[in-house]
Amino acid sequence: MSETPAEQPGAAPPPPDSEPPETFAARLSARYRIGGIVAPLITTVVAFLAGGIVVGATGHNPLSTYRAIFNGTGLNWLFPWVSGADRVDAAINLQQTLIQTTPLILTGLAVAFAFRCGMFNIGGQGQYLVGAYVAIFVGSSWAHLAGPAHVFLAVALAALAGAVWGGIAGFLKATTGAHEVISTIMLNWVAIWVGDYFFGLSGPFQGPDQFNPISNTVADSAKLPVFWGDPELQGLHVGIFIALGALVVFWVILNRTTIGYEVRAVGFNPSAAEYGGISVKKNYFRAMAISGMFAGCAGAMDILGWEFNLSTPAIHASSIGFIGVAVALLGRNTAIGTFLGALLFGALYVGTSTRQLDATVFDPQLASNLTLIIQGLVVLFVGADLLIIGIWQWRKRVRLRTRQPAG
Amino acid sequence: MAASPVLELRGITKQFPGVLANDHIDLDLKRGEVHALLGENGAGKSTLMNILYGLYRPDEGEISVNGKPVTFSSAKDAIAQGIGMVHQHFMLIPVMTVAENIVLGAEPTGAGIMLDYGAARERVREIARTFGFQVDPDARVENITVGQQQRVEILKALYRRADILILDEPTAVLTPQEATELFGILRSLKAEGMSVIFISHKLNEVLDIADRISVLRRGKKIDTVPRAGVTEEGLARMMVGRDVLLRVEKPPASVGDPLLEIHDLHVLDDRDIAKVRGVSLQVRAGEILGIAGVDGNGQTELVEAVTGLRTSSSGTIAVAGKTMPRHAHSRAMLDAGTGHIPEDRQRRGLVLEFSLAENIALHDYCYPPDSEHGWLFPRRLIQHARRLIKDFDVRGGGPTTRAGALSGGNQQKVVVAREVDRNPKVLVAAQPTRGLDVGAIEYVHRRLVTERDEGRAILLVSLELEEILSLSDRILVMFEGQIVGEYPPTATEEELGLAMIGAGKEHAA
Amino acid sequence: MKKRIFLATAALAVLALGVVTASYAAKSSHAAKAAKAATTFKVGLNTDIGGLNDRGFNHLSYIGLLRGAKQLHIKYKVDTSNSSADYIPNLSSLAEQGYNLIICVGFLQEASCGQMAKKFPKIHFAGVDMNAITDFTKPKITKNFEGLIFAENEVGYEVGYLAGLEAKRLKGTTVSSVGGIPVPAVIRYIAGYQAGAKASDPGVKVLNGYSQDFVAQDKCKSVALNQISQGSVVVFQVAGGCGLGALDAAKEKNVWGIGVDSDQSFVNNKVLTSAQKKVDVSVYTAIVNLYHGKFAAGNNLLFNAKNGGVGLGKINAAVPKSEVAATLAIAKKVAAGTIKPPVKCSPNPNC
Repeated sequence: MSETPAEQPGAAPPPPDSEPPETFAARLSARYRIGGIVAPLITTVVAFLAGGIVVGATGHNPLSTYRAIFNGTGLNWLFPWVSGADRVDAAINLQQTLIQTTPLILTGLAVAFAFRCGMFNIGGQGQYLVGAYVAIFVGSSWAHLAGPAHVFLAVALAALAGAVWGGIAGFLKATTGAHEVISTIMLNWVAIWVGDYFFGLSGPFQGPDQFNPISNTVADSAKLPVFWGDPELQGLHVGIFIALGALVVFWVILNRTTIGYEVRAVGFNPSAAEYGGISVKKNYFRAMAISGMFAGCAGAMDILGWEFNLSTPAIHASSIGFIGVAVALLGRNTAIGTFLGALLFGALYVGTSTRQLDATVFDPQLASNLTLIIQGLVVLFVGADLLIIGIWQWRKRVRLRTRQPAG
Repeated sequence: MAASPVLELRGITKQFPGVLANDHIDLDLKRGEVHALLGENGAGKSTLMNILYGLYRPDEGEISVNGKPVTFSSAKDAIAQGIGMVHQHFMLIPVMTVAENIVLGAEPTGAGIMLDYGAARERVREIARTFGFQVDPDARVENITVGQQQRVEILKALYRRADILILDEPTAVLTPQEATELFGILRSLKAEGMSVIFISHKLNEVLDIADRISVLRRGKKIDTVPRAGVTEEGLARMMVGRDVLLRVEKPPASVGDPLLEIHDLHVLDDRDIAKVRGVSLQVRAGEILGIAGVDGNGQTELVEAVTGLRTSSSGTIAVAGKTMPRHAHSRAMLDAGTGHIPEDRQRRGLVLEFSLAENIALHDYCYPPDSEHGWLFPRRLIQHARRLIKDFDVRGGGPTTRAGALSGGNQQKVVVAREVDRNPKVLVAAQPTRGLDVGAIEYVHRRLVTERDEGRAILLVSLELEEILSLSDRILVMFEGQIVGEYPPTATEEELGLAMIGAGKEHAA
Repeated sequence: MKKRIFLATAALAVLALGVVTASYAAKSSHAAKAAKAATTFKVGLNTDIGGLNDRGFNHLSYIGLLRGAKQLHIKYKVDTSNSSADYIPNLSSLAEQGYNLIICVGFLQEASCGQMAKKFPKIHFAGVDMNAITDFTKPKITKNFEGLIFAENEVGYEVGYLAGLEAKRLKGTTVSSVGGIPVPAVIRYIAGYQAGAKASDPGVKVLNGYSQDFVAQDKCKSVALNQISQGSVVVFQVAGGCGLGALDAAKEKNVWGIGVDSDQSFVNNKVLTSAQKKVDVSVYTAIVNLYHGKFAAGNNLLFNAKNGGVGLGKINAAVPKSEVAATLAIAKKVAAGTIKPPVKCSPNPNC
C-alpha cells in the first residue's frame, strides 16, 4: 500500500532551498522520510536488545526468554512445523494477541488520523472509554433487539460517542484555538471520572451486584461472535475484521477522498490549505471527530468482544488509548504501519504475560516486573526513535545549513 | 592597491550526494577590492563560501590566506584568519542591544571573569566611527531596521578584526535606499583596505559595486572578468548559459472592462493594527496594475483581503462586477474567478510535502474531473499535472515528485501553471519573482504579459521597482496603507522611490 | 499433510481451519493433561490488576501460597494480571496445565473465576474475598469453587471496643472510621467497630466517611482530619494504602489511629492497634486443606476470630494494662461466639 503518489521510494534529493515546513506534522513527516522504514525497525530491534540486557542482568538467558515471549505471542502458530499441544497453545495465544491488536489498531488510527491533519490526539483513551460506556449501555439495555441489529447499534453509537468526544477537542481548537493536546488530556480525565461515577457504587449504571463498582454486563445478543477458539475461554471475536476494515477505511479516506485530501493539506501546511480554498477550522473539527470515531469503536470492540462489563479499577488501569499513540508513532501514521505497530504491541502484551514464563525459572515477582520493563523499553525507544532521527537531522542541518547544491 | 591576493582558492571541489556543488573552482581576492560572485540559485556560490568560512570541508583543493595555505575545520578558524561572514539570515539576538550582540562570543573580560561591557561599547563606537556607520550601540536589535541589523552583522565581523568580508545576498532584504547606503559602507570599507566577497544574482547591483566579477554556473566557474567592459546581457549569458531577455517586451495593452474593483477598503493585521486604510482601485481586463511600496506598507494585507485570506473591516471588493460578501472565504474568491500567485510560495503557494499533481489540484480538487461526489481520482490529478508540467516546462520532477524537491524557480512555475490554468479573470501576483534567478524571472515576466494579453486583469505587487516599472501598465504607490499616487510606466525609479517613503508629490489617481 | 494445507491456504482460510483443529485438539489435550496432573499436586494463583506488590491482599495471598508450598513441597505458579484481559487467559492456562487448586484473588475477577470454575469442573478454585453462597455472578458458582471470606466484623468489634475504652479514658466524645469504597468487607469492619465502641462506651458518637479510593493517601487524610476536627479521638482506617493517610492525620493531630488488614504498628507511634485480616492464612489453609482432601465445595471457608483468621494486632504500649486485659477478654468472647458482632451498620446498613 503506497500512501500517496508522492511517497515513491527514492523520490528526490533534499529540497534545494526550502525552509523548514511549519507544522509539527510536516516536520515530523520530513524526519520520517529521512528515517525511512529502517528507523522503526532499528528502534524495535534496539528495544529488544536493551530488554535482553535487562533479562541477562537478572541472571536469565535472554535468548530463551525471548523464545518464550515469542511463543507466548502465538505467532509461532504461523509456522507449519509447530504441532500437537504446542499448536493448541499457540492458537490460544494468537487469539489473545489478536484480541489485544484489535483495539490497538483502532486507537492507533485515532492518533494517526488526527496526526495527518496536523494534530496530536492524546485523547484516544477518553474517546475509547466513552465508546466503551455507550457500548455497555446499549449492549446491556436494549436486549430485545435481534443480534446483528443490536451489535450494529452498539458499535455505531459507541463510534458516534467517540466522535463527539474527539469532536469537542477539534471544535475547541477551531473556535478558540485551544491546543488539542491540552483539551484531549483534560477530556481523558473527564471520561475517566464520568465512568467512575457511572459504574461506581450507587452510580446510575452500576451493575446488579450492589457491592462492587462494576457495570451491567452486555446481553448475549450484543456480543461479537467468537469465530476462533472457545467463547468461554475468551476466543477471538470478529472485531479483528472490523479493525482491519477500519485500516482500509482510513487509507481510502486519506488517499481517495476530498476529505482526506483536505486533511493532508491542512496537516502539512494550513496556510497553503487555506490558500487552496480549504476551511482549516472545519477540518480540525472533522478530523478530530473521525479520530474519535476510531477510538470509540475500539471501546466497543473490547466491551462487545470479550470484556462485557467494566469495573472502575479497570477504567483507571486501562491504557489502550495511550498505547495507541506509540502504535501510531511507530507505524508512521500510515495504515500498514499502524497495523504492524498494533500487532507488535498486542503481541508484546500477550507474549510478556507472566503465564508465558516458566515458573521454575522466573521468580513470580521478577516475571511480573520483567514484562513491564520490556514493554516500557519498547515504548521508550519509540520515543527515542524520533529523538535519534531528530539529532541526525539536526547535525545534518548544522553541517549543511546553507547548502545549495547545483541542479 | 597591492596586487598579491589576500585570499586564494585553488581547485575547490565539493561533492554532495548526487550533486557536484563545486567543481575545481579557482578564485582569488585582492586587497581592497569588491569581488562579486554571481550565479543562479544552486550554482554553488553558497557552498563555496561555506567552505571558505569553515562550515564545510572541501573534498579537494586548497585555500591560502596571505599566501599561506590554511585548513579550516570550523568557523572559528576562519575568523582567526580574518574572515568574516554576513549571512542572508541574520544571527542576532533580538532582545539584546547592538553592542551586546556584537561582542557575543568574543566578550572582552576585564578583571577576571566579569564582562567589561564599557570597553566593549567603546570599541564598537570606535569601529563604527572609522567606517562611517550610523548605529546606536545601546539600541535593542529588535527595535532597529533590517538595514541597521545588517550593519550590526558587518560590525560583528569587523569587531573580530576581519579584513575579508563575505556578504551573502546582502541586498535581498533591503529597500533601494538601504541598498544604496550599504554600497556606501562597502566603498568606505574598500577605502580602508578591506576585501569584500559580494554574493548576488542581481546583475545591476553587481555592476554597481564590484571591481571584478566571477560567474558560477552549475558548480563550475565560468570566468572572472573586470567590471569595466561587461554588460548585464553578457553577465546574464554567462550565468544562464544562453541569451536572456532582460527587458520585458510587451505590446501596448488593449484594455477592457474593470474586472477587479476595490472601494475604500480597510484591513487590520493579526495584531488589529490598521494596515490598509481606505484603498480604492480598479484593474481592467488586459492590463497589469503594479503596486509599488516598501515592504510592510499594507501590500500583504491588501492581497490577502482580495484573495479571501483575510477579512476586511470595511469597504467592498467586486470581482467581474460581482460584489463579494465581506466574509468571503478564499474558496468564494477562487470560485468568483480570482487567481493568486502568493508572495511566499513555500508557506502559501505549495504544500511542499504534496506531490506536484496534488499541488496542482490545490484549488480544484473538490470539482470534477479531480473528484466526484467526494471521491478523488489520483490518476486524473496526475494526467492534469503531466499536461501542465509539459506546457509550463517544469523541470526537476514528474507529477509524483514532492514539490519540496524542486528548485525555487520550478516551484514557482508550478504555482503559476496552476493559477493560470484555472483561467482566472483576475490574477493577483504578489512578488512573483522573489528569490528566483534570472532565467526563471524572465519566464515569469513573459508569462504575466501573455496572461495580460489573454484579457486577464493582473494586480502585480512587488518590492522590486525594476519589475514594477518593466511590467506595469499603470503604477500605484502604496505608503502606510494608502495609495499615495498613480504613475505611468515611464516614471523613474527616483520618483517612485520618493513616493514610497511618503515624500512624493501627489499625482492624480 | 495438514501442515501443507496450512501453508498453502490464504490467511483467512487458515484462521477458519485453525478454529476447528484448535477446538478439537483443546479437548483431547486437556484430558491428557488432567490425567497426568493426578500424580502431582500443584497450586496456581492469579492476582487481580493490583499486581503482586500491592501491599494488600494480592501480596498476602502470595505469602500464604509460599508458606503452603514450602511446607508441602508442592509446585506452584503465580500469574499477574496487567489488565482485565488477562483474567481468563491466565486462569484457563493454569487450568489447562492441570493445577489442582487455582486461587483467584480479589472481587474484580469474580466473574471470570466463576466462569472458569464452570468450564473446568475437575479443577478446584478458591476465591479470596469471594462469597460462594450468594450468587453474585452469572454463571452460578459451582461445586468446585470455594470462597475464602473473613469475619471482619469480629476484629472490627475488638478494635472498636478498645477505641471506646480509650475515648472514655481520654474524655473524648467521638470515634470514627475512614472507609475506602463501601464493599462488603469494609462494611463488616465498620459495623463491628461501631458496635464494639458502643459496647465499651455507650455514649460515644461514631462517625464514618468514605474516601472512594483505596490508593490515594491524601483523600483518606482529608476525611480523617475532618473527623478529628469534629472531635474524633480514635480513627480506624479501613482503606488499604489510602488509609495510611488517615493514620498520618491521627499522628499529626495526636489522636489514636487503628491499622487494618496487616499489623500496621510500624507506621507510627500513634497506632493504637490493628485489625488484622489474615489473607495469607486463608490461602495457606485452602492449600493445606485440599492437599489433605478437604474442600468447601460450593461453600465458603470463613476466617474468623475463632480460627485465627482475623485478630488484633499489637496494642500500643501507652494503653493502660487494665484496658488491654479488658480488650483481650472481649476478644476471647468474640472467638467463643458468645458475642456476635453485626455485619451491617444501623441505621444506615452501608454505614
